[in-house]
Amino acid sequence: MERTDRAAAQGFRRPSGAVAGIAAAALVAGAAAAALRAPPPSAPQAAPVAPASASPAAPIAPAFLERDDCGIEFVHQRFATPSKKYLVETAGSGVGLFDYDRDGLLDVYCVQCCPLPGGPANVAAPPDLLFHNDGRGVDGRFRFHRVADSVDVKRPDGTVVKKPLGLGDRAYGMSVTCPDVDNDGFPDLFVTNVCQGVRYRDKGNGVMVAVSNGGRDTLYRNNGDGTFTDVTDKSGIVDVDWSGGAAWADLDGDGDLDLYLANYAVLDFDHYKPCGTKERISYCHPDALPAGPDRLFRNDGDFKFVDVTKAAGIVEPGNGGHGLAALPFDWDDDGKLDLYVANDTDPNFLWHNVSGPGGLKFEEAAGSAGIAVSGEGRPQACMGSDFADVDGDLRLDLASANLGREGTVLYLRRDGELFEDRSARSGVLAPTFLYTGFGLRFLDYDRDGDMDLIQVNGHVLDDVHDFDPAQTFEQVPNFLENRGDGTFVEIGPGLSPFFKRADVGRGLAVGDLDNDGDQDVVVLENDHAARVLENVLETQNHWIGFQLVGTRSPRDAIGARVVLTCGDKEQVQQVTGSSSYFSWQDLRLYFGVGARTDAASAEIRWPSGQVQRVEKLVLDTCHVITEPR
Amino acid sequence: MDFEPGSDRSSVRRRRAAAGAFACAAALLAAAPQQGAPKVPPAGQPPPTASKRPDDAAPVPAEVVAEIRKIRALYDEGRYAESARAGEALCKVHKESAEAWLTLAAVHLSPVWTRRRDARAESASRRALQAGGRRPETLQSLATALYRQAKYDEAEPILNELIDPKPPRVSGDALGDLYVLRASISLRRDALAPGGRERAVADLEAALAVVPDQPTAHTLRAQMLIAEGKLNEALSHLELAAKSDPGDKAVHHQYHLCLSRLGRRDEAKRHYEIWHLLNRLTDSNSATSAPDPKEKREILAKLRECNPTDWSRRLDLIEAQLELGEVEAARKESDALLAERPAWPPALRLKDVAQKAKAGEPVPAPDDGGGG
Repeated sequence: MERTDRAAAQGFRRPSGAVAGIAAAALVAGAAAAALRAPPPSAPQAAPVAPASASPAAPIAPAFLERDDCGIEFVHQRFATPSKKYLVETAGSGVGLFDYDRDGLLDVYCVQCCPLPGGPANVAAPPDLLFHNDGRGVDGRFRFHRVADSVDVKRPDGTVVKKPLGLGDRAYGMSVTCPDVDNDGFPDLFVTNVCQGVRYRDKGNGVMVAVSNGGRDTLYRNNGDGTFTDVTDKSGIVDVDWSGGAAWADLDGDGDLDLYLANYAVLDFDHYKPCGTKERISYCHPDALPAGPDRLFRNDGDFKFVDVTKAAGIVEPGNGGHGLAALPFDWDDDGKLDLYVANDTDPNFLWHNVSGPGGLKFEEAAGSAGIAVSGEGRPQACMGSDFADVDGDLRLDLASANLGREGTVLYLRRDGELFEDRSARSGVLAPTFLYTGFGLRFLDYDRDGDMDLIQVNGHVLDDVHDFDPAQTFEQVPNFLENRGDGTFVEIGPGLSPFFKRADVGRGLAVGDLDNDGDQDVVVLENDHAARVLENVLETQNHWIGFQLVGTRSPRDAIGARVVLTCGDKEQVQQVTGSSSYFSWQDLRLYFGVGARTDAASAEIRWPSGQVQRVEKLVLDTCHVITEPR
Repeated sequence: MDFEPGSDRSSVRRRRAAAGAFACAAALLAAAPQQGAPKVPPAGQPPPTASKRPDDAAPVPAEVVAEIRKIRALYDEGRYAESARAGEALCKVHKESAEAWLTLAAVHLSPVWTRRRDARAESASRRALQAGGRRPETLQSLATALYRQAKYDEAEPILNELIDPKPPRVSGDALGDLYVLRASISLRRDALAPGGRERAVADLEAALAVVPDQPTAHTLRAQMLIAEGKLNEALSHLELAAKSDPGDKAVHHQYHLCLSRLGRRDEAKRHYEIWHLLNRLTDSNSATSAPDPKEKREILAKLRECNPTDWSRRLDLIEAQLELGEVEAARKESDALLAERPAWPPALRLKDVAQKAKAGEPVPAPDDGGGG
């Protein structure tokens, strides 16, 4: 075990004194500005009333400072086409947090869209952008700068040459994931796109080449020198459908990350039939587009993948699923990672990993687990999703954001392999009920030892208010504080003006951008500048962090589960990566332990099956734990 | 077609009549002075609940009455899209007729038409409200449409207006249905509010007191009991719900959850399979994603095996076979059905169609599903 002393040297404690004063002033100013804005036409239904036994709620302290000045100058554009209203325009894009240059600081990748057929002519497609984390500026706050298309690369002999960055995807972008595909320590990049008319040609040597300039999904190898190389053509990752989220996990236990691609729909721009009436074109219901079959690619090393979808039994029941999010987790605790797939309007999937010596094999088991549909038996419009233990029973629970008038669903893990829909009784349903949620992530923002929930919202229909006066296109985000028992209460407006302002939220990633031990947030909103929320909560609560480095497991340790014990408190978290919506999360795990100062220890179950115990963990430190070989 | 009393009433009702919705229109029609038409509800309807039209209300034109009967007939034949289009046409001509609007709403409140539009049911109910005032039937239609769209805040006061007076403004099945809607709202929206669950239980008990075999009331009660861990008690409610409406997918979902928690995996799996098949049949609202005729026939054939007392799906199977030109299979299936349910009119009708088809007569074209 080693400690991240560098991070400690940078100072995990938050800025104090004058800087904190600036933060407070900014928050007050923001609040005033927000108060001037018109509220949404209808407030959501009242937050649930606290159970009689609950103590009076403490005042909510401001926690998130909006950092418009941090250097992430990215404006998402969805390129809406009023005369067509392609469904893709509603989807939005994701954001990825990853340390591409291994300087110890999370960088940010923002996915962009491009003009669509029927839109204004002669509009250039803007590229996805990468922002480098420059650490703290003179004001003590993190700064970023956009990484240019051409970067300085230092050669072994010390000379510096200019090389192309190698990124800059200009397709209609959906999700970004940042797995270390080749376990070399440098995270790579995979961007899913709406594959506009892509056709592939086999060059005869097994290399598939996209023969149109449509938006194929793109895999970039991190060269380790600050540049990337597009390796899609030789990778074998061939997909012509509109892809949603992607999940990476070692599904066959060979030590590298395989790829599950959650496809949304089959989309043909040339023959797209707008929905609605002659007088009013509207965005289609997802059912109007055939579901795109999901795909499973086995990683055979050296950036070579093989499509094993059918062989592995990934045969979607019924009419398939409009997949938006895919998350690995070990449902049945058999040491093999399974996959949860959140489908929009179709029953969700749970691909139970029953692989053996014969290769990858899966069986669909969402019904058996109770997570295919809501507790009432209704398929929902599941979008951003995440796992966390919200009720402290050391079992991972599951949440998926949904369409307005469905409300976010929270499944609590029960005995055996069953989940139970506790959305209403947990207090998650009421405050989210009128909102259409996309990015969703559990985080312990105040380090009190339980997992809270952030969700960004925005309806898919830009004219929804005409049909339903209680709903709006732009919607305020939710922040639900966990009372410690798995029940939640809305506290967003007290945390930041961000939670009072209605927008069209989509991608959301959570991570510790300044290595101070708390969780910051980056949000992408449709047709809006990226939002960066710096966690500035003043708290004496302690924390313990983990950066897991796999050896027999994939280096990213996706699927590793850590049970932390600190005094009387036990908690569990899992490394996931592809949580939320179209976005990639900080792979480090952060546990809040409240005011406890007891000796802490942890048990780590690695994806390889190894179980490792670590003792005498130091408070307020991110520990780098390397898997025993 | 007559509705038979007994265990399969809900199932048959659900498929063929949308009784609650059409009952609204029928009741309004029955209470209305009509020009040249007898005051008889459409075939198969229970006697309408008493409701009074304003004395100065204009009589319902005979052509409206006749057209409503046609719409109802189309609906009864499963030609939902056509009945919706006919309803739209009727409303276009008779904009001031509450009966016309309520009929259109009734089509869009169909529990079985997968491409129904709940929003259209709402707007049509509102037009009926404008034209005919706050009559119980209209309010019932509007409350149901609002509930279907999860507009609970708007639905609840209307439900209160109908249920809370002593005596309630509706009675019989309609009252049972409304109690269930209000209980469902309490369960979802007020789950954490003080007394929310108690209110839901009270409404469900009231529903069952009025309609002891109300399947949704039993299913919701079971859902609550499952959450409380009272699994055997939940099972007894589910048995009653399944007996009353074996084709309701919600029943099978709760069965699946309950049996899973009891460790009865194989039985749980069977109910999940039934749920999945029913969901596949009913959950697609566009032609793109809906099962094609062959898939539909396969699903219905599977349902016949695993859920044989769902009589209405057995009828659907015969219709699917006829649509695919499998005339002999359709005839055999109608014989099998009639052996279990002797002289059942819809089965007799389909057998007749099959026999005529065998003799070379064309099978009526299937409904296109869309429109409205």
